[in-house]
Amino acid sequence: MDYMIEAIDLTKKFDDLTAVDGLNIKIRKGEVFGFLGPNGAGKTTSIRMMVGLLKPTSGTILIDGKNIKEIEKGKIGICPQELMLWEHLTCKESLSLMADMYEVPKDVKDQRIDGLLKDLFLTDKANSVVSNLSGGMKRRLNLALSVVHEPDVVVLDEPSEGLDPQSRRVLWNYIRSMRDLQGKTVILTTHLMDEADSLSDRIGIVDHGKLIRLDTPENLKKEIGEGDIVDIKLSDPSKNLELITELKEIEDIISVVETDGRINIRALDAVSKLPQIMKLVEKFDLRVDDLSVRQNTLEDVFIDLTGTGLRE
Amino acid sequence: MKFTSIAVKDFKELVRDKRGLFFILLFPIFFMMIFGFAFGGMGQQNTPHNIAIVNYDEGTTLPTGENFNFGNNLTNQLKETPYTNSDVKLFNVTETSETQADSLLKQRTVDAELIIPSNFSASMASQIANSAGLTANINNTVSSPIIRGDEGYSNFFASESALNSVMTEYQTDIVTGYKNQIAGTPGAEPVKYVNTTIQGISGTQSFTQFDFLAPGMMVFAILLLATTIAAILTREVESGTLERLKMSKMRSFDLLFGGLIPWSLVAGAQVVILLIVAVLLGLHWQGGINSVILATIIGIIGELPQLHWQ
Repeated sequence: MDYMIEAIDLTKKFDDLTAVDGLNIKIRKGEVFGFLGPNGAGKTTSIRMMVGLLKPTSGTILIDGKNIKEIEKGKIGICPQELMLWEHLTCKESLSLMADMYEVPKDVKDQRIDGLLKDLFLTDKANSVVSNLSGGMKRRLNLALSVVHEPDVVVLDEPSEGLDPQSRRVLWNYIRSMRDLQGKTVILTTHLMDEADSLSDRIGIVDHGKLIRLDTPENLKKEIGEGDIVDIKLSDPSKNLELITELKEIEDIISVVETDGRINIRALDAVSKLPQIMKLVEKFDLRVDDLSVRQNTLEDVFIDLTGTGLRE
Repeated sequence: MKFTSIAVKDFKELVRDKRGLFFILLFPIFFMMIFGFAFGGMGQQNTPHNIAIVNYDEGTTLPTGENFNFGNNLTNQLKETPYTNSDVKLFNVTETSETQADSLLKQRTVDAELIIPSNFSASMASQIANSAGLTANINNTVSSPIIRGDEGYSNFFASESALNSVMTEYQTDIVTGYKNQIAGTPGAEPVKYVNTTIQGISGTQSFTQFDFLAPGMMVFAILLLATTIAAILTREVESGTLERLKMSKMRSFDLLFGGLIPWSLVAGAQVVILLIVAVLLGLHWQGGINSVILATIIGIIGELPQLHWQ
């Protein structure tokens, strides 16, 4: 397997705070790698080190088998979390400037800029000054500026922050096309679990500066339990425990737990179990106040692994 | 040529940022105008002394047989005397009555009051006769002109000493003049008295405080430009675009040299604009086109440290 980025025992200390603690990660060529973690877990610090913007306290980073210090500028494109734009330039001028800065040859420059504007639906605004663009357009331009030199590795730091669902779709399609059509390696950090789930080939979850899981979204979801979750609120919560004992007898039910006065039932093919569950509820002469069935999501995995406590 | 792209970018940002441009180009002009109006009239170092003259002189008949009023003559003389090396008059004379003069004095509208007595001409004639040796004509009239003023007012002393010196000179001139005339060579043009005319050197006549301030203002404008450049660089840092540029293949040289070009243009334009405004406001500009070019170049060089400082 070819690895695009290898981080070996990567550590970064800020005074007495260890932001990244012995991180080992291998990112494959041509994959979309999702980087998840709570705020302050060390995602951005790790990424900044992996692309050479920050010097690690210790550890090695190899890009395409070469030490990060030796690689040519322009191999990596970074789309930062914050907007980094020239307010007084137009979209086209901004892109042209960055293309010049990366020494993109004149003969391909215009074509490439037009292509980018088209892919990110900015063609209409090509000659508008940045300060007149909407938030979503600025985000898209922010991304376009990071890839105008066609880097092998594209790092996107929370790219869909503050985007409406339409813009997010445009962005997702573009990220997929970068992987599928251009064979780029994409590293993505995000707080949106559905985004990580649907885009990433593999996901790394970091917390307290350490990598705690690295796997495909499917495997991660399986790991904390297969099946769907039925969530029931009863008219008389005091009988919850009695009901739970009975519910556990039903075949194919994986687990039944009480949380916040509600009953959480995890089962494979939960919908087919609903009649049986309802029968039991009636047997105890109870009514159902609220009921929902949902599929196991990456968010459950995330909370399961990193806990519910706030990090800031 | 990455620096050309940077230069074009900086120039576009510069021109499109109307507020910034306003501050860079118009703000120094405002300053120049404020200082121009504030100091333009000032420090024509030679300000005329305000004096009031009360003339009671009745005139006299000179030894030459001529009827003459020395009081009027002195008044005219005081009105006309300029400062040394200047075309600014020494006195601003108000001819008036004694009561009126006293009241002007109290209001400090005038700094001093000169009262020419009725026998002033007579006494002058005596003096001329005396010094010319025409004993027959000496009637020993002694007149006492009065210089009156507020002794607690500094302007009074300045005016008083100026008056005194002019009057002494006047007497000497008159006496010498008539002496020459009386003993003079026949057929020669009779010299009435030595009329001292002093010419100011052209161009220096009315230097005002503003003339000394204006070049400083231009330097000030350049300094103001420096803070603006700093602000614009800060903007580049704050908006993160500098980081974006640093990730690219751009070298520091491109950023610095590229930035230098449009800013030099602005600095040059600023010097020219300010010079024009200053001249309109009354700067006595002595240089030729060469000095404009020199000033522009100095202005541009003034920018260089700012750019290196980034």
